[in-house]
Order: sequence, then structure tokens, then C-alpha cells
Amino acid sequence: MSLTTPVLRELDSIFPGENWFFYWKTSSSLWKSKLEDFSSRVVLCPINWSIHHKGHEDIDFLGNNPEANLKKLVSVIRELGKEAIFLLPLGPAPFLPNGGVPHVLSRFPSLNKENAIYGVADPEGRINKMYSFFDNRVFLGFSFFVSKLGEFFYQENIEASVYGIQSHYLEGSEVCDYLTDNSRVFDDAFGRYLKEEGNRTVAQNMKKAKALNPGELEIKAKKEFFSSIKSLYVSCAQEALEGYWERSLPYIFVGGGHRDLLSRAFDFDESEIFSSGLFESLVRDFIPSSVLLPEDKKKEIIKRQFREIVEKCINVSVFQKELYIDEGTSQFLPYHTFEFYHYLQSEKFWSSIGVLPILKKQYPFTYKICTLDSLTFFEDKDYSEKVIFASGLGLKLKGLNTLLKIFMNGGKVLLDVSEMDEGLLKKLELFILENKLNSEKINFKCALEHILLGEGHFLTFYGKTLSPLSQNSKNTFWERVLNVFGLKCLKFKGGEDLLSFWNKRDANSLDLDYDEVRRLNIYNPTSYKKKLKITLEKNFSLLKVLDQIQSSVTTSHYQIDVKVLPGGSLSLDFGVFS
Amino acid sequence: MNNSEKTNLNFFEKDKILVIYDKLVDDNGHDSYHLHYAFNKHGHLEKKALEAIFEEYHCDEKEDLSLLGGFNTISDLREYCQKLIQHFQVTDVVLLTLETYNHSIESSPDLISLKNGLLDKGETIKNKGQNGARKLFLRKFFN
Repeated sequence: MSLTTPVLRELDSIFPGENWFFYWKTSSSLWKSKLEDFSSRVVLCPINWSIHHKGHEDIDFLGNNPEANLKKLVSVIRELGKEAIFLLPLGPAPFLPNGGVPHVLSRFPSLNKENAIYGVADPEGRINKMYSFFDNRVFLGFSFFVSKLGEFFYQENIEASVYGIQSHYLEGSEVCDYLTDNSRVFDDAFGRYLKEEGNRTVAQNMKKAKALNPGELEIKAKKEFFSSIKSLYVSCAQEALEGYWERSLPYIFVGGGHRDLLSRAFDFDESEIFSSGLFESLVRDFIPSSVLLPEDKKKEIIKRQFREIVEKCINVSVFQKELYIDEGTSQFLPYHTFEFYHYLQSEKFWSSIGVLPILKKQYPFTYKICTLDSLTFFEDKDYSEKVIFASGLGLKLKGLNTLLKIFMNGGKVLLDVSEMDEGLLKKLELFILENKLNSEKINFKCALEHILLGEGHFLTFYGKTLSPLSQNSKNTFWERVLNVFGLKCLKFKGGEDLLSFWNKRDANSLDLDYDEVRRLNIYNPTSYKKKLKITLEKNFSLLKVLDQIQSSVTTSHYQIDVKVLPGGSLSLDFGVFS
Repeated sequence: MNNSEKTNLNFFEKDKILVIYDKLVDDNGHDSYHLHYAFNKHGHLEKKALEAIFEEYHCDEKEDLSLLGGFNTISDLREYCQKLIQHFQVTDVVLLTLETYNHSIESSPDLISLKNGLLDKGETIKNKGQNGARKLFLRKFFN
């Protein structure tokens, strides 16, 4: 517990983290001087709806309020040789008072699924309450605001891109959406939605189902309604901003949960939780943000993590690589080997079949967990080093076709067919027959079918058979399966509670015969010394150890021993060759 | 040390746990009481410990781990709090309803107001048994 009141530096309030610039928090006459020392080429400016909202249908972007002058802001940024990127909140924004909703529209506080009011502490210790985006007035206000924003961009020929922000937080290991609203406002909006002509059958089905399955159909209908409203806000912004619109980005604001609010109020030390929050965000394919954390809570190691991972790596891969990278240089970008696809973006299923525990132990943070909806095939992506896990439950034909494309492009696909639709199973069998692919069927802990095509592997298995087995049995199963693929992935031993992050870049002329260079960042956020052994696989060569802080490395022919003291970190560069 | 820090110290000096809970009513009109947050001066209480105490008390497995509990009556919840007192060796548990918590958030512009708002309210559950108190004293004396 601190005995002195921390003094907030003005710069921390204006530049809260990850190259964000809160332009409204300083005088517009000081924008240039404040941004002169800003190291990044890209300035990320979240748009504060409230300060631009003057009154009913009166929006200010040109400077009746000088701090609302976006044209001047972009001009100042470009004058300094930098690029401006705007971030437009597409729902409640935890870093803004009233969640970003102008005061006149903030009528109904929104409630999370446990009926708690959203209260989020900003770095200055003020509590921002979130208001319901299911309030019709808020939606009308937002759509008017973005239409005016779009008109302003076109009329003034603003040279900037716009990304949407969808804000989330972590409550334990669960990702929660600030847009979620369990209040009467949501219920009223849902009621109106059911009364619409196209949705009346949904209401009728709910009435019929009530006797048999109380609530289940209603929960499903509410989820669909929620998704449709969420998409509505996105499409509203997209249509209004057309040529300026890039896409929407899912963010997790570390320190933004209810538990975090109580921790801040009672001054608990949650720095390890903040650190792991960053890595949990990455695993779930969200962009982590530290803008809610006050400076005194950002220990040195947390600052390093956000700087090295988010500022220098994630931001580069997300926001127009060409703005960050000069021609001829290669840039480290985030890298993971394993991807998990399930209709729910949840660890639970993958943990139950035993694959996630073994990955966490031997290949920590080398994976990301996604929803089936996000399963996409990219023409220009190298799938030869990717291992894709997919659950057949909820898988549609489009998803199956994507998995098959990945397989045919050299990817390793593992599909749990336990609860897969019979029709889809038949289509898969037909695919194997039509393409005259050789399949091997074996029974090892569960029924397996393996198909090989060049570098591509397609393996079906029965997760339901695996679930009841002991973790040791599951470990044996998955070790054998992963062995089949000949992964170019370094195995860890020990180092529990250490946090690690992989990134990679293409080899350049100085990298001799390597195909690529991979960098492993290791951090120790705990209060204890940690040791880790990395098995040096045959395709890997340790190139250098860098950015060592309170850590040491010893190497032998086949192993690297790493010791990291509390708060310590280091990076290891590996050359990877065929 | 400023006044808010003194308040914090005074509250937790007496080894208290603060519990925020909610009452839910199911479709059949049955009440159940669920824990949302529980913390003492050191921080949030470990979920595993809370669940273990709950399972020992309730002997049922709860799937929804984010809402610990499922107590049928407020008396059951108070009994559970007695177990918390014994396990964590504190003198009191302060029970706050979610409604109070929500009201405190709504009316608090900042963290200090929120903390003071929470500390002023709630139902205090004191350690019931003399034996309990004696054991607590002996445990502390010999540790």
C-alpha cells in the first residue's frame, strides 16, 4: 500500500500508452510541441464523441472548441512527418467519461451479465460509467455523429485512416464485451426487435418452446439480437466513412474489469494480473491496451512488455505496415504456430481434450484461440508451419471448405468430428474419395483418420472419447500426434509463470542461409527467480541474446538454459532453416 | 498518510473480509444468493479457496464459476461467511449487496469516494463461537 499520493505527469495523461494521443487533454496550441518528441511515426488518435458534440444536431470538428479541431490535428501531425490514424469507438469506450457518450444522451447505465453497473477507473482515478448502446437515442446520436464525421473528412480532404474500436475487458480468463447490457434498456430494445415483422416467427417459437426448454431459445435469440446491433454500429460507421474506413479492431483494456475497479479502489498490487492480461489478450486474438493503467501501476516490466510487444510489433502488423517499415528492411511481426477454432471462443473445450494443457507447458503462448466465424483462408499466407485445430460442432460447409484449402496449401489440420454434422462428414468422405487421397485409420486413445497431401496433413479425431481420459493419457496422445507433423517449434521445459512472445521476420542479406529469423521475448512478472530450458531443435540456430535485464543464458549443444530474476526479461533471436 | 489511506488501514486492520453478493430469482420464484467478489487487506481472495470452502459446505459442483455460490437463503450465506472467518482467520465479514455496490459506483466520481462508500455500508457478520475466537487467539499466539 503506497503511503504517498502519486503525482500524475501531464505527459502520461496525454500519451496514455501504445502511441495513443488524447488530443482533447491538452491545448491545441501545444499539440505541436507535445508531439515533437513523440517517437513513433504513427499517432493513434481515439475520437472523443463528447467533445465534438455541441448540441442537438450540432457537431464541431473545425474548432469552435479549439481542442475539437481535427483538421488542425491532422495538419500538425503531418507537419511533423508523422501519420494520423483515428480510432473510432463503436460502443462504450472505457477510457472516456460516460463511455464516450455525450452527457445529454447518457441516460441509462448499462449492466453486465451479472447486473453490476460498469465502472472503470481511468489513470487519474476517476470512474467512468458506461451507458447503454441499446438506447435508441444513443444509436441515433451515434449514426448522426459518424455521418457528420464522414462529411467532414470528405469536405476537408482529411489525410487519415479510421479504424473502429470494439472494447472488451478480462474478468479472470473470460473476455467480456463492454457493449453487453443486461438492463431494462436492452430488454425493451429486444422486445421491439421481436415485434418487427421479420422477427415475429422468432417470438412465436419462443412462446412454443417455453414449456419444453425455458429460456434456451430466448438466450439464443438475445445473442443474435446483440450481434446484429453490434454489426449495425460497425456498418453505420463503415458507410459514413467509406474511403477512410479500414476495419474494426477488437481491443482488451487491461485493468478494465470489475475486479480491477475494486483492486484500484483498495490499492491492491495486481501487476502480475496486468502482465498476464496482456498475454491472455494476444492468445485470444485481441489487441491489448494499457491506457487505463495509471503510471504508478505500470511497473517497469509491464512498460517493457507493452512497448516491445504492442508498440513495436502488434501495432505494426495491424496499422498499415508500410507506414512503419522503410523499404528494404524486414520487420518483426507477431508469430504463432497453433490456431484453435470453436463456435465459442473458449479455452474450456480445448482444455477438456487435453491439447491446451500440453501446449501451455511445452509451447507456451504459441497459439491463438478464435471463433469458427473468423476461420478464413488467405492466398498469400504460408500455411506450411501452421497447425489448425477445429471443432466440428457448429462447423458449416464454408468452414470445412476453408479447412480443406488450408490442408491443400500445406497446413496441418486437426478436426474433432465428435459432434460434426452428418452431412458435412459425408462431404468430407466424398472429398477424400473424389481426390483419391490415401487415408490411414488407426485407433490410439480414440479413432483417428489421417490424410497426407504433400506437406499438408488432415487428421480427424473424436474429442469426446479423449475428454474422460487422464491428462497423462491425453499428453501421450497429443505428443504422438504433434510428432507426426515435424513442427519447427522450440519446446520449453520448466519456466512456469514466465510469459513469452514469439515474433518473426524474413531473412535478409545478412542472415546467411536462414529462411527466417524468429525472436522469443521472455518476461518474469513474478517475485521469484525462474528457470527455463529450451530444447534446441535441428532446424534452429541461436543467433544472439539481446535486451537482457536481470537474466542470464547458458548454452549447450542441444539446450539453452535461461534464468530470469523477478522483473527480468530478455530476447533470443533464432535463425530457422530447412 | 492521507485520510483515505488511514480509512483503508483502519478497516482492514481489524482483519475483515468484504463480500459483495447478489440475490437472483429463478423462473419458479426460488431465491438464490451468489458471491461476486470477496477480498481482504491483501487482495482478492483466491477463487480456488472460496470454491473449496463452498464445496465443503455445499457438496455440489458449480459449473458457473464466475458466480460462486447458489445459497438458498441469506442464512446459508451467513453460515458460509462463518467458514470464511475460520478459514482466513479474520474477525468479521462485511456483506454488501450488489445493489449497494451499484449505488456506490453510480454516486462515486472517483476511486476514493467509491472506497469510502463501500466501507460505510453492509451487514457485519462476526465470528460466532467463543471457541472459534479462542482457537484464533491460540493460533495467532503460537505463530
